[in-house]
Amino acid sequence: MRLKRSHAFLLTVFICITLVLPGCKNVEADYNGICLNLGDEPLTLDPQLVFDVVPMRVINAVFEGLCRKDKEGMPVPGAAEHWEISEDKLTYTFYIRKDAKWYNGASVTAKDFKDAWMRALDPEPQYHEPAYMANLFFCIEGAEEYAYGEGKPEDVAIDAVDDRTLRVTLVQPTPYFLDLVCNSVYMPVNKEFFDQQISGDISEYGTEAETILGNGPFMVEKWNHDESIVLKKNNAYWNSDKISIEKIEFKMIKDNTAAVNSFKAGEIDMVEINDHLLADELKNSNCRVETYDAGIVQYITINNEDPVLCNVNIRKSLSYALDRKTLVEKVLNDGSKEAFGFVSPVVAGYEGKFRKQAGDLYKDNDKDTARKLLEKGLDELGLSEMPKITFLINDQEISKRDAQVLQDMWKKSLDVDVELQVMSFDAMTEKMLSKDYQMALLMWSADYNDPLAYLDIFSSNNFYNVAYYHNKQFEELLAESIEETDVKKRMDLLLKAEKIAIDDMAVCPLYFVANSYAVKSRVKGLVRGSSAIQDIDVYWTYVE
Amino acid sequence: MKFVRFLLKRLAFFSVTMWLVVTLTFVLIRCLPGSPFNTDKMIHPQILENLNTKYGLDKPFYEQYLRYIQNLVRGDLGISMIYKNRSVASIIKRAFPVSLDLGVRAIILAAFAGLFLGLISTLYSNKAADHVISAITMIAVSVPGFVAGALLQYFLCYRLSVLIQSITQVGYSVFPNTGWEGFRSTVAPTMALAAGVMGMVVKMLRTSMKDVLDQNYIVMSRAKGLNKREVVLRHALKNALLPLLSISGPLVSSIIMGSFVIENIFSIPGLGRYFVSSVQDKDYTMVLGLAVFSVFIVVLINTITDILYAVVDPRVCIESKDRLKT
Repeated sequence: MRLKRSHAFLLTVFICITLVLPGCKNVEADYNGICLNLGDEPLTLDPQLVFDVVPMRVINAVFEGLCRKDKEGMPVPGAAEHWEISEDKLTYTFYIRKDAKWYNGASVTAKDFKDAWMRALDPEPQYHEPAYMANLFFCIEGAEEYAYGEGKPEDVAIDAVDDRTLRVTLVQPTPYFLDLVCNSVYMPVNKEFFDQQISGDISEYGTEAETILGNGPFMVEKWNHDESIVLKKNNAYWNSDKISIEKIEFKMIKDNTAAVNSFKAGEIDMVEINDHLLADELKNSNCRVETYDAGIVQYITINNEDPVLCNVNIRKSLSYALDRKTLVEKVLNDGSKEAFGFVSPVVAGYEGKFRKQAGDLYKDNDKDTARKLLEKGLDELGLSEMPKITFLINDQEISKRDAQVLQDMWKKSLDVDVELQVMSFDAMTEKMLSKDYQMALLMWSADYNDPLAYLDIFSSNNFYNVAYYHNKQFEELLAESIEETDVKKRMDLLLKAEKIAIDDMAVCPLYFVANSYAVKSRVKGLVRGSSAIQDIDVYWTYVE
Repeated sequence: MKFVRFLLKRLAFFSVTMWLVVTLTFVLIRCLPGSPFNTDKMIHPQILENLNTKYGLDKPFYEQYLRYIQNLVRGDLGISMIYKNRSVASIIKRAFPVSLDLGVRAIILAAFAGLFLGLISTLYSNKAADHVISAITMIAVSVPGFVAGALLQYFLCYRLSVLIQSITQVGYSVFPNTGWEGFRSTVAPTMALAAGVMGMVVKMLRTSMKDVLDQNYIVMSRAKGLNKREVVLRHALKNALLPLLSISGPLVSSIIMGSFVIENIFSIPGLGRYFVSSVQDKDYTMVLGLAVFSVFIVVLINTITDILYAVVDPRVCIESKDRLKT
């Protein structure tokens, strides 16, 4: 019997479909797992070496420091069961819980923490590169000297008293020290396991699923480079009864359009939203759209040593002339908030948030005052008209968009010409470090939850002070706050310090960045925190 | 003997090219501002210094260069400066097979579809089928990869799965939007990558077919009473394929090494993305490693095509292949 051609075709199609369909994975069924987008391949999963948010999303689930962050981002006991802080607030003694275990069953000891911290401080480590985030240890006595190659490792005041006791002595009272120990760079390492991963002159620790040994609620099951990381629940974790989710798949979808398509097709459970139209569209479908403050301030850094911009009235005038409300509501429209201060609204102050206590430090969209200040400033400088100002921006779309809006605002309200110079971030950094710039668009996010993390960049000896802002009164207040052990008095000093810096308009704050994401309705309890380590936190996540 | 001489000549040519490319890349990549360690956030100066010492970037330029060449001769491509503690060779070893897989699929699809459509359009030249094929070819050639990829992803992956979900009420993607797992995930990217090449094949084949069909021996066979289909398939096709073979070398290397856009859209873990990201990140060793690898692949593919050419067309002598003597 010979098949007719059309029949043969239909038969082929049918065979193809039956071949394809059995591969069907039912996403919605009672599958106790979630699939998230990691966004990119992590550079490494070695907690001491990472510095960007991508690997930290995984590390937060796979490792656990002495403390971890709760839903509100405050430090709570992690591998440490409890701790004592000395009277002078300089000595912290952590007691590590008995049931803190590595995947392989070994106990997590005080030595594991000491090994990890010393490894991060080592200026010339043998089997890997020096840690980027080593500066987060500089509050510990002897740490800075050691990392700079001037001190000895024995002088670093990290003391593993016994297996379960770790004592740390600090240089100054550091009220945010518990927040620091939640960071990736503070996670422990199992030295024995680490040494087993050495091959030749590198250690393959943290580069493959098999070369990672963690102590967190999840363990890395599979790592298909550039494609996905699969985590499964770690039953040896001390609090594993409270962990509901069994499996997490992190896909690495770089292209956001592709990620959105995947989300709509039900292949991933969460997607970042960078377009408010998309947010409106997704609100109608089977998911929730959420917005959170990312703890980032977008601002214009101003070269305070520039012949024109050294004048405080001109700096103020440029800042007062801007209409931040229009910028965030009409242009961004993503939930970002106007900034009338530099410290992010997520930062804790004394009983409440710092930003709330500090309030708005100036008013903007105030064209009359701005014009008067500009005239006054020009008079003081002996100039008849405002020269053209150059404004550096990096080559990302959102930066160009923001800068064009600002340029237009300055032109309309002050008749000031601003020239935009687009370049790579590297080139920008080079120019800023050599004081060869006037204004530049930057972002600042803090490594720990304290106002000092923001205000410190205005002190003269800080490397990040590319505004070259110098104010004696400000420095004195900051120095006083560092010595102060009383929490309330310390916050008052910091409040004053911020006011001084912003009164001088050392930099020009623009807005506090908000991030939006959509998550499938079946996924509950997913936390997106304001710090890099807690960007995605699956600790309390469950599926319905 | 001739063959050995040919290979030796190629080897010499390869070494010189390699040296030139490495030297140029080495100099050019250092001309970019910044360093591998300046990311979105400025790095502490002392830590930066420690990092520079670790990777030998604090040494004089010529010393770094000599050291790199020395290692290269020993076959060591070094360690990536961005992907911590991973050797460049291991990244290429892992990612290239994926790109190769995708590339080979695309080439096979492009070659078969291209030959098929090309033949149809010669057999039915100036008829409806020919015009339709011409239109398809024009679109395939002129639509850039990122548009083709995005469109295919939208319709074939996203729209189709939404449609099926609305009918069956089961969350299921026939062709996943992203990833590289199983045959289903390869369909859309292969089509996107093959489209352009397929268009080229059709166009080339059509033109060369026309030339061949005008030749005396074809007219002779037709006059003898052979039908058109037989003449085209038996006598014309092999000769018409020759010009196609000469562009197949560059075509194959571009399809294998140039799938960056498609890999990015479909999140395929291939080598393509590293060609762009390593330059952006200023991953010096990775950029150099990729340059070395590309030279190797391109020279290899060209050599293979030259040998193939001699096999298909006995008039071509392999030794004189550099200039097509007949």
